[in-house]
Amino acid sequence: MARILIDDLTKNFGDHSVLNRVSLEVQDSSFTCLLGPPGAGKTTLLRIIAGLESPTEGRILFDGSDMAAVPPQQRGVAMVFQDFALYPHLSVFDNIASPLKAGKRPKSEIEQEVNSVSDFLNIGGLLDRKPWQLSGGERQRVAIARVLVTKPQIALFDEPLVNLDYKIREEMRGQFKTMQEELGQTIVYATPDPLDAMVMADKVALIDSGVVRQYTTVDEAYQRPADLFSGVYLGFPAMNTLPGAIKKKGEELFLDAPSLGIINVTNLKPRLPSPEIEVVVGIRPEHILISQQQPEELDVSLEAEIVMGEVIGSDTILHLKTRDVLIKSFVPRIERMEPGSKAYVSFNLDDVHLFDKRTDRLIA
Amino acid sequence: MNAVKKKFDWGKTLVFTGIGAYTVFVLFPIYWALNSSFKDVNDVYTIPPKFVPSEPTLSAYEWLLKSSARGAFLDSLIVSSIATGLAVFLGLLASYAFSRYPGRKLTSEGSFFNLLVVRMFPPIAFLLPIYWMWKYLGLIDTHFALIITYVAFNLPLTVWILRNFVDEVPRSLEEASYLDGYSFWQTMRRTMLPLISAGLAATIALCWIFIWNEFLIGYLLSGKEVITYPAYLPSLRRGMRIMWNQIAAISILASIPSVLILFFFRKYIIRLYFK
Repeated sequence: MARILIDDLTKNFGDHSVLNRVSLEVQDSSFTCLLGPPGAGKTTLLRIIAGLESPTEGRILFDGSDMAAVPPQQRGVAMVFQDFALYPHLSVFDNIASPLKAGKRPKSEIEQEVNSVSDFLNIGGLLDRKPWQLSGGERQRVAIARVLVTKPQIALFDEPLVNLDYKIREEMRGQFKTMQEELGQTIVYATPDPLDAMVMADKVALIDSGVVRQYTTVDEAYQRPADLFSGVYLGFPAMNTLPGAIKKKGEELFLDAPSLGIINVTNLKPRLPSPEIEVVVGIRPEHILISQQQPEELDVSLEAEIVMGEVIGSDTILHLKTRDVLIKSFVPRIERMEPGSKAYVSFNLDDVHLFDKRTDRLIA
Repeated sequence: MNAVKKKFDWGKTLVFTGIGAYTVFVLFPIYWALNSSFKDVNDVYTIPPKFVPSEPTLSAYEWLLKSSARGAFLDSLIVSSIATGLAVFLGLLASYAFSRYPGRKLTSEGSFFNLLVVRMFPPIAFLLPIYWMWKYLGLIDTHFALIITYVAFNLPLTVWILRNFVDEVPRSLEEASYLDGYSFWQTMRRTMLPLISAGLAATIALCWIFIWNEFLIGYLLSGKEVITYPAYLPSLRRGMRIMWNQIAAISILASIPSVLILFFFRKYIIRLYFK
């Protein structure tokens, strides 16, 4: 198996910088997600790991050895492309067998391997078909089969779920996770979808504009986002962000946010670069409680007006307005509330993230 | 429902009359060549002309098999086939470069356009210098000179057509093939060629027919040793007499490969224009 070290990697296309001094250490047999919006540089990073693109600066090491001079054919890396890249003129069997044939394996062995991997992925009945006769989900499984059939040390996935409908996405996430646990390869998985990362990944690298903003375990990234981007990006629905400022009065620190009022935040122990700074207050929708009566046990409670309820599946995202600011709350059930009705928006200070407005970094 | 009186459709009548006239215009010469090829040379010159041979004879075809016309056909076959092979092979490599590495100096849009310019000038503007060049090298009257010249003149066509087909093959397929463990050339053979086979077939067909039918280059660069069949035709004069029956026989025979190619490659060639 293999450990991947990405060492101070920079990639420019002409004047355009795609990756800027990226360093990551991907553990052997781990599932790592590269998470970020389209155009963040995730695909380029995968392509450099695969050897399809060479870095402008920096190194890629597999188990300590530099890959600079190793062509993609010899890296032992397999990849599921975003468009699946199935050979349209070959049958499903020949598509899956392709890497084995390149390795000049005996025919009986090829047949055995293809059959076993296609049984594993439930596509045993499709082997005679051509790719155009398959549904999106089936095509994807064929692409995965082609990757798994060689038992590669490193498997790369470039947004494989993006083009699929949501039911298949949900199902495949579970399958990816079990598959990786069963087969134990090192997986690097690029996706714009935070749910992918939250369901499957051991570690997540949040990437924006070619820069790794945070690289840590998924839980850690969720609980302690390093900066505003990571906080907002990792989580669905996205974190509420409200403007505010922190002011010192004697030994006490107060958060002054137009939408929330003045709140004593001394206990959050924010790391302040200067006594008074402007901040962005981040609160996740799932940490906001909506109630008809004012709850007593929560730290902050505000009156608000329901704007709308967005029912998604069996959950609801409630949009509320408090002092002219929109706040979203996540309710894990179908909740139909009348627009215009009054409710209380409450949360605990422990669930609040404070970001320095100037640097976007987390300060508490 | 009221019965609508069918009005005489002038537009339709005009269109079909036009198409009919065009069909006659195209088919009559073919019929006339066929007609003449089965005549004796004296029969060709009768006035009024005979629309069927008075005594059908195969003499023109028999002559064709015994005379130097056979050599001309053979030379044409050699030159067309080898030049087509080279032009298509080089065109494939060039179109791959144009498609996959655009924006470099050699593969810029400007260079692509320059390729076409070659075909926009009247060939005669190039041909006299080319004639002197081959003459200087002592290569007039060789297969080599004919083949190289035909390759040069047809490369723009093959690049132009094939580039569109290469453009349509997603790059990720090649990359998947590299990651499977295949080299560049293996990838070309296993993945690229099968996916552009329709374009390749059409290109080969068009290129071969162009060279097969080409007169001017063949006429200038041919000689006693090597001569293409279109260049051979003008030699069929006996004093004041032109051997129309023999010329007709050559024309008919020369049409056969083109007809066969157009028939079998029809669907690929049509796709070039209706993609």
